[in-house]
Amino acid sequence: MALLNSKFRNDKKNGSIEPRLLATAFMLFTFAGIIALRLLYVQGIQNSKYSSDALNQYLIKIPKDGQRGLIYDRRMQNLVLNEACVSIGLDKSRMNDTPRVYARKLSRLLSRSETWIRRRIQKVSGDFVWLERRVDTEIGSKIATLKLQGIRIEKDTRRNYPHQEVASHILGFTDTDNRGIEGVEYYYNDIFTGQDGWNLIQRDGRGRAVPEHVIQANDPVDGKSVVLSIDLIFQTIATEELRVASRKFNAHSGSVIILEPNTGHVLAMANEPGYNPNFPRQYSIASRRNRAITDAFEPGSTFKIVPFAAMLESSKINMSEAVFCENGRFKFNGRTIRDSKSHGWLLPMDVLGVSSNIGTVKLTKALGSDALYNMGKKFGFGKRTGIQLSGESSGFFKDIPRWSSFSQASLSIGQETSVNSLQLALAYAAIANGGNLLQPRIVRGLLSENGSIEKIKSSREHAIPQRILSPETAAELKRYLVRVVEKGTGKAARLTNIKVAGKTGTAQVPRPDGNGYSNSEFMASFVGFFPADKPEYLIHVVLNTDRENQWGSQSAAPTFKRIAERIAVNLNNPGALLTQSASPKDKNVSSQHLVQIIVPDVRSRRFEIAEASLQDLGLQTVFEGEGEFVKNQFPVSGTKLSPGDEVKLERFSSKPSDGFNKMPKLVGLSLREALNKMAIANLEPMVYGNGKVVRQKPASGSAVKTGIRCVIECESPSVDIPYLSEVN
Amino acid sequence: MRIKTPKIDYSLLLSITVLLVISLTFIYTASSTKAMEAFGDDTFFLQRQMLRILFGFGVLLVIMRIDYHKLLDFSPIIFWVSLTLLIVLLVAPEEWTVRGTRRWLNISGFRFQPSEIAKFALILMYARVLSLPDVDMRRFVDSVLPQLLLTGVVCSLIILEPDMGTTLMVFMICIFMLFVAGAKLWHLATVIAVGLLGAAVTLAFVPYQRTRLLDFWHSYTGKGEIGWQIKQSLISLGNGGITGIGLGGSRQKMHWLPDPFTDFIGSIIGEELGLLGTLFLLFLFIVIIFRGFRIALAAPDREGQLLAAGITIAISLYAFMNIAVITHLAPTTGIPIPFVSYGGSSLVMNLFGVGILMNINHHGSSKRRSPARGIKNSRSISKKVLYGL
Repeated sequence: MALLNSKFRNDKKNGSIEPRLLATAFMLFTFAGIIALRLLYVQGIQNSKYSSDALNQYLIKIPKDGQRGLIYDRRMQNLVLNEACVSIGLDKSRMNDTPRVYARKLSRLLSRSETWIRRRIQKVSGDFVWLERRVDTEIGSKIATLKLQGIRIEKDTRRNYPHQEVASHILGFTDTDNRGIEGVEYYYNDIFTGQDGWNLIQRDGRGRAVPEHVIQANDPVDGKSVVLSIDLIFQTIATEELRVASRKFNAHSGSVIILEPNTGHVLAMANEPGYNPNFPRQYSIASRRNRAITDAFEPGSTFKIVPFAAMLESSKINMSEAVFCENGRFKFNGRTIRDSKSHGWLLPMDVLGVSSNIGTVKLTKALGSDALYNMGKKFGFGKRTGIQLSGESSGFFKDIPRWSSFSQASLSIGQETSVNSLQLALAYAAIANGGNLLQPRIVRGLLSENGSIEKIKSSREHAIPQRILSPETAAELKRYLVRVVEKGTGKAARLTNIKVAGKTGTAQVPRPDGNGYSNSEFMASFVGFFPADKPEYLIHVVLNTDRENQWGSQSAAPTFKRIAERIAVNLNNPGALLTQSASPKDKNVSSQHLVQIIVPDVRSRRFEIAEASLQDLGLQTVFEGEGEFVKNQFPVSGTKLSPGDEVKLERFSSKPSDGFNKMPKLVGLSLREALNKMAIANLEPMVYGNGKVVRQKPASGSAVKTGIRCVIECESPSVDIPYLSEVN
Repeated sequence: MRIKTPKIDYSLLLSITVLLVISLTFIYTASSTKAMEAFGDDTFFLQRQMLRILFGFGVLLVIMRIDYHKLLDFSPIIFWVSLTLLIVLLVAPEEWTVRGTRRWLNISGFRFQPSEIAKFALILMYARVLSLPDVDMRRFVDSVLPQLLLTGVVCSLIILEPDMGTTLMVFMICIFMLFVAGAKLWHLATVIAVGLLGAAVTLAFVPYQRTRLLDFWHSYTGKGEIGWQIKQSLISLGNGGITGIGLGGSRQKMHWLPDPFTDFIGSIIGEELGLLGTLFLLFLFIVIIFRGFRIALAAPDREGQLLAAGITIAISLYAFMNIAVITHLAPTTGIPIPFVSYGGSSLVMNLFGVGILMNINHHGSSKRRSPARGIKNSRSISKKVLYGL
């Protein structure tokens, strides 16, 4: 009752509370109504605007590049790998500080100036910008520790040339955007370049990608891979021997070409000085030049095949008639021509054999300028070979109207003209293969999905080889070249079991100012092929040496020999080298290779170099046997190992030693194969008969002292001992 | 005077239960990511809130059995206690506070917001003082001035925490209560003017508050911490559209929207359940207003009426202000949605308030006819609607 009273008392004085309560309720309802209208506006009417705002902030397009195509040698060895690295990007919308601060923090790690980074952040439109492509993964993890918001560290790939300097001039390299800059990388850049894709990724408010929310993926297309005609083993041999020769003969530059004279396939193309394509910027442009094709030089005596081919094709010259070589000094059209040694009467074949300039000039005079000129043109001098590399020089071959009175003589001995190494190699290949000038090839084709090789269509290629010499001329010229090696200036190029045809060359180098020739620089060269009867390999060695080593017979010919010996050993040991040819690497190589090392092929390399290169990769080495070369390796190349794993190297020596060897199994092999096997085992063969081996002594598997004479008996007995007849 | 079987307003209880269910659902979806990242348990926040709800219901069950007149008798003590707590909060050692600001008092792991207690203490004081027999609402010194002094002290202490949002809310609740109690409008205008002056002074001297206000005007540029929050809130709501993107589907909770399960839980509800969800939320609070005011109208005395109105106003004003903030109608104030936002003090104190409402309802139910009679005679349809619900 008291409660009621108090209520009434208040009502009396202050009036009823009800109207004010109702008014308050209405105020609150009005408030609610306004809010409801606002919700209706935001959620119902402006819905699409906010939805697109939402999408814009959730989604970020991360570019994803297609992997660059790989390069294989003819045995499908990887010449280049795509190595895992990272690219540093920035999602600008998530930056929690000014570009200036970002630039300052990143400058040292990215090795870029602060201004450069700041400009890059500010200049590029859109939310996403790459700050630096393809840096070491360690740099990426260091940047991650800076905790800069919006920084994206994306996996990427970059080129890694596992064979370092080997084939560097052929392969070229790429820039930080992975574009080919030189070599095959440049020439076939479009083929290697894949198609870039992107991932539309949903990110959370901290800029992190939400992995399960890849909204849309446009997968990148990987570039196509290319198979070269290059043989990594040959290339390695050429590179190593060229380096050894350059040191030995004080050559500041030089090049070696190995090609198949029957196909025009370049098996090796090495240059000195070399460079490591993994760090191209550390080398001068001169070191990165593929001298074998970019540099034209006066060939000197190696050019003499042109007048001699013309003589053999012409009826004007009787090739069995001797010519007087004036005892080393001859005045011709007011100039003195000299020979290195004085010669008297020589048959034309011996003129070439001893490389008499006087004899050549006199014979060419009888031949006439037209024949000389036409033959030079036929051999393709003065015209690019069309090799699938850029930067080839055409060389220089003067047209007759521009000849001086002395030009005919100069040209016949390889002066007043210039050639590149490859041109000359192809000219000799024409002699080796019976008269056809071939289209050289360094790229065999594209590697298709099923592993076959597709040819690359190119306007430069003329499909049909050109016949430039009659088979008779070619055969005769080959005999002359064999004589050069057997009896003449090329003796230093002789191989023990294999007949070699070749020619030395010694040329002066024109002075840079165009006045005459340098006194200190010479071009010593040797070009030859073997086996002479059925040529398989042609090697052209050019060394830019000093006066002391100027003669091709002195420096280039021995270099040829060393290369040829190693090739011969390797080739004829198919068990050691060819069976392990790796299949094209799967595409995941680059990702797996993050923590793994792919064992390179070190077979046939010098042992010390092989050991060092494996150790550089972080592998341990053990060896078996002795000798300067690596015969075989376990595990094989392409195997993935972890750092610290062991690679066993089997050594062998090219020199006879006192060691013992196992007698190889020869029965059932062809004589040729048997001879090769014996050569590897350092055994001297005594051969009776011809054809397949039917008996051997000692028996296979028995221990034999190296250098020992072993008897091989073949199917068809004959008095003729093939081995001896082949050599003499 | 204990009540054995109190009369229960089931509509009120139901709407609060539904709000709590929504609350737990969205605390879970909005906090699971953060809970997982921070504590390795996606239900971390959910569990804590469930415990608080249990505790809050305990408080509700106790309070609804205590005669509100007893509470009113105790109100000066409650008021002094809350005032002490506010002062303790300001002078307490660093380890008793949370995250730099002095909004929470953390005493040996038990964490609460003294301002929430102070708010209800003020409501009790208002109800008590404004219904004293000799109070004449027509006289400024009688009605408004004492209240203004009480409010001024409380607001000053809260603003020092600093907590501008709560200060503003407490001030508004007081104005509404004065209005309900029948204060003269020009008296109220004076009070509002003083309040605005206080706000202006605060803005002038506290750059943090100024930034907040400026951020509000800069609206949808996403600049600054607050601007970003508002932008993300609008994106949440807008992207939710009419029907929402589905329960649990919120992307905004992935670190886009700050405070997705406390102050901005409404944005996540709007994102996942759309306009239908937010309007339903609004509807539940309208139900609470209806029930609360009905209880006020039916209250047996002026104290009950003022108390019921004050509690209802406190709950609904918080809810509406929160939604006004997340829809960018009002500057960010940092206040939660009652019953829905994650947090213990607000939840327990609001359930305490509901307990009082229940008790007033119990007392009022016997006198239900009395106001109803008045309404029957009234021409006002709205009165009928209000009463009928």
